[in-house]
Amino acid sequence: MQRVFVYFTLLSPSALLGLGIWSDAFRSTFYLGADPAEYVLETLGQTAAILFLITLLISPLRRLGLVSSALLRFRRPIGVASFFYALAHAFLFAQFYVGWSASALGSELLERPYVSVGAIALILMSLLAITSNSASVKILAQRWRLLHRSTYLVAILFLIHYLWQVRSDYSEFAVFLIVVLFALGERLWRFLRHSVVQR
Amino acid sequence: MWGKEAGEMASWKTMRESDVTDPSWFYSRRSVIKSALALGLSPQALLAAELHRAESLPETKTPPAWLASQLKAALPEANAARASEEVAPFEIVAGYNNFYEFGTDKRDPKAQSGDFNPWPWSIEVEGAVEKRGLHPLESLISDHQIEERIYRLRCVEAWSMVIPWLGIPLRSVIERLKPASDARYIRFESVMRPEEMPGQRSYFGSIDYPYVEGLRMDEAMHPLTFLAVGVYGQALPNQNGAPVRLVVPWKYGFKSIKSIAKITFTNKQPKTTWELTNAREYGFYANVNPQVSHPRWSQASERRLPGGFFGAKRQPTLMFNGYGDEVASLYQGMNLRKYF
Repeated sequence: MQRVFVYFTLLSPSALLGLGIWSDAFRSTFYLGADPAEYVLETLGQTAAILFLITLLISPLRRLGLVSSALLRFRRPIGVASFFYALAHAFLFAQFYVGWSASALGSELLERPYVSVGAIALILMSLLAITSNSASVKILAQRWRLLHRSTYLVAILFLIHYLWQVRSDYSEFAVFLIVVLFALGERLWRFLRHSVVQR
Repeated sequence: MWGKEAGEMASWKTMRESDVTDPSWFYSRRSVIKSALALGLSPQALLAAELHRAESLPETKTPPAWLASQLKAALPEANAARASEEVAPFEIVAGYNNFYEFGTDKRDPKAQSGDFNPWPWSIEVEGAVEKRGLHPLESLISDHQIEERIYRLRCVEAWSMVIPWLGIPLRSVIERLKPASDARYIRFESVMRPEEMPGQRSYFGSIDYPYVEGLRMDEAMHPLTFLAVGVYGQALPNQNGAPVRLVVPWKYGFKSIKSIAKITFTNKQPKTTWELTNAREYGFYANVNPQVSHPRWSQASERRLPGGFFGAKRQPTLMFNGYGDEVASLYQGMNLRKYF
């Protein structure tokens, strides 16, 4: 039952966007506004970011006793869903902003650093998504833990990707920053405390 | 943006199909003009009853009688080439724009401008000018014939739309104010009303209000430079800069300052809001120029709205937004990379 609820929630943003696209195209509504390509692109990116941050938040919130440990097993599907939203986000960027032209992509990557930062984050996320299964955990053993620590790097890359696109309003960025600072800070604090205790 | 999703869903449901403009009506006018041109007729004669009108503008605060009657008698766009452009539907013009005083999302101005009441309105005139003081808007506008101007608006964010404004050339107002001979620039200031404008109360914004813009005097006196008091046959809705705004069609949209409360004639180039916010990215001139990229995106092309999701495609951006024949001479000999 829990499982059904989680999967339903993970799929609902794409279902809503799909419904909006369908209705605007075939029923001449304006649900997605004047610039639906940009709206869908932004919404996919934001959905990916929010899901990603949820995977980062589950462990520290559980350690503080704020959420149940039953949530731990959902980190994997949430993380994989986050990757698919990020991939769709990149796909639309290639379609609407780059037009699948290699030279246009080259100049975007060189001239607009937030694009390169996003691309690096997506590559890391694809490695994480590919190894998000029990077989990979067994095969990679110790290296799996190491590889999956790059989630912390992805969180920082996302913050930069977002910050470099702000024109003047830092309120949404401030929320993301606080969440990442909490999720990484809690881990760093535990790490430092443990190393002191061991000495 | 995601947080607003639930609220928007509710409005999707309450929105009826009849609320949305049938696109066929704004194409029809274009074909009328085309056939008129093909027959060798003057399109002006045919345009007499062809002012772009929206059925109703629920967002517009009722204008005073003098403005309502002047808008009713407005002359339709006289320039045949401009009149034949496909205008954006009213819902897009009034539902998707930047007006940071009401929020930074492009849907915020419509959603958050309901508390703003522009009437009555006066403009304060200062500096190197004979008629200094507080001028009621009526005294500046009512002696002039209101005309329609169909202009392309190119946003610095690389989207564009075509809008049927109503107003008078800025030049008419400047001439009646009688600037001194050493007034080389005009500085414009938007209204400051934090109690009615939520964006002016924001703690996380990096913009200092009131919003400031400026033009060189020859730019301000150019016949294309327009002072709009209406759109689509009606007074301006709050979200589009009620009750009076600038429209400078060869410059990026942010130059076209909204809800003008103060005009200063000066011999010094004014510091504008976006220049002060980020001088590396926004300059005083802000002429539409496909060769000079914004540091974070290319300006070589633009998305013409509304294109729909599947129709979303880029079209090349034209130098001076396609008004080069009229305005290029203003910038002869200037390095437009330096003065961007």
